[in-house]
Amino acid sequence: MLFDVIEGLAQSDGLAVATVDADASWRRLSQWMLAARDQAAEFEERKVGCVMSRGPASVALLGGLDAVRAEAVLIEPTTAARAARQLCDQLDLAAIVTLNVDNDAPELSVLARGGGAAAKQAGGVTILTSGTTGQPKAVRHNWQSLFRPARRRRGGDVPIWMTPYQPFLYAGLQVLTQSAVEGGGIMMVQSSESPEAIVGAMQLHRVRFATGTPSFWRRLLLFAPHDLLREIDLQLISLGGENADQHVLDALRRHFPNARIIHIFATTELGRCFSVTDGHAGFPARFLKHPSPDGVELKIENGELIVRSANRMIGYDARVSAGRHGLRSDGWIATGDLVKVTGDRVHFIGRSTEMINVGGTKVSPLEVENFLLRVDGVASARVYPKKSTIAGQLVACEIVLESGFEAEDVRRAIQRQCMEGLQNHQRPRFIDFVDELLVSDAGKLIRRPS
Amino acid sequence: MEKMSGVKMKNAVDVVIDNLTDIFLSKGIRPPSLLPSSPIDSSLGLDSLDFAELAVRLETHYGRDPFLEGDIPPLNSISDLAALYESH
Repeated sequence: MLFDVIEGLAQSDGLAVATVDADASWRRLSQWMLAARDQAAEFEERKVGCVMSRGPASVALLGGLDAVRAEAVLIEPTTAARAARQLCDQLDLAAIVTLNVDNDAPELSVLARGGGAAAKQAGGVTILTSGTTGQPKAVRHNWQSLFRPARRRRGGDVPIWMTPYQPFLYAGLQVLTQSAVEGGGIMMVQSSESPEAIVGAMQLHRVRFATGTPSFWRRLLLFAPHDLLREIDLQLISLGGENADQHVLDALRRHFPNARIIHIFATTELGRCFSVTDGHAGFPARFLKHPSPDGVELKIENGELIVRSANRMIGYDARVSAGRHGLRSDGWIATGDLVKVTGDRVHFIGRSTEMINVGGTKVSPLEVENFLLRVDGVASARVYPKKSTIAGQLVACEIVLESGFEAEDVRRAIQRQCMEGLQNHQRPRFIDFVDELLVSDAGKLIRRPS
Repeated sequence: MEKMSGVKMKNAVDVVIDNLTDIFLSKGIRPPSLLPSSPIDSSLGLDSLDFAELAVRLETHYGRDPFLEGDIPPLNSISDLAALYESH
């Protein structure tokens, strides 16, 4: 399916994929894809690891493998040679391959070889993810399930999307399928790149559509030069991967008054579930009542969001069995996201695996972070558990200051407001001020103990 | 290990009192006058999580956690607690 979609764009000179140092039109990308297809003939209907660096070459490689009905297992580009050989054995891959397009001469190279099972499913795409729990999972999709949520919008310009999402994870593939159905382009940035470089690249490619995690946007708003930011006329900002709190939604609204701001709930297993467009954190409780037109049903059990989604995966790869919990025979999947219904709104209060256990009482780091973000002078906050021999865990936090505020003033304000507004076990007892918060390669805030 | 020369090491009683003072202040409470003989129980006006916080602060300061090291003698006063950290 990916092959056919890219073939359909073979006459387009519009931008397909760009990074800060490489770009290709759809025409160029489709030529590379045909070369990849021809060189990948030996992998016909085999299971093949595909190294997914940011840039047009990986997309061409994916299309080429789709053409020979291979099942692609997406490999992180930082995977070392030894780990690649291990993956070949563990997942029974025929090989791990990469596509080099230097000097416009596409060359498929094999990084590691393995036994190589026959593809379980032609056009299959397997995503390796450890999520936030650290448990490795191999989640099998196919191009049908990945293209299913993509929509062609009516009218308007052909969009250029800016995305910091990694191309080997679900969110990155979602940006790819969405831009491919519209014939738009993707500008792939690394969330660790300097905010100035990211904004510069957005200007260069006249980006009007942008994605990213709330942590990514917080960093950009905090550190990118504001005069540069103002020159970017975003039409749409799509947040995903983490809970979108009111603080970040409001900040984006202030910086980009003309942009539609939506936040998306999706997981690797469930695919895209729903999006919220009203600018408020959480989602409307009416979403719980009826299946969405897209075939997604939601319910709450014991405070946890449970979802059945027509965009879901085909299943887990049986060779990597960890992380199968939460999957039920009737298609419902427990998300691990804890929610609270207040009036007609459902709010996320955190991941079940991230709850902090203070003397037997569970504390949601997300709830405390949202509280801290309302204190004057707090630009961003990370709440995490600190080990205690006596209480098990205590609440600690790291704070990034808003410019113009003094750490000691903000510390006193936090202490005073937490005494008044939080319960005793929720109160952060260790407050550190830092320049930047720790964010994972996938652009998500890391809340593990430290 | 070489002793720091020229810098007088703060004794453990002072370290405990300084940290207790910080904990009171962080709760917006004016700290009572704290002496080595002051009791460390709820009569001080602190709760069990405050004592857990104190233990983590002292562990950070001294780089070790006596509460993990086996039998703890009865702790009645600030000087009893301080002795746990001084005894090594």
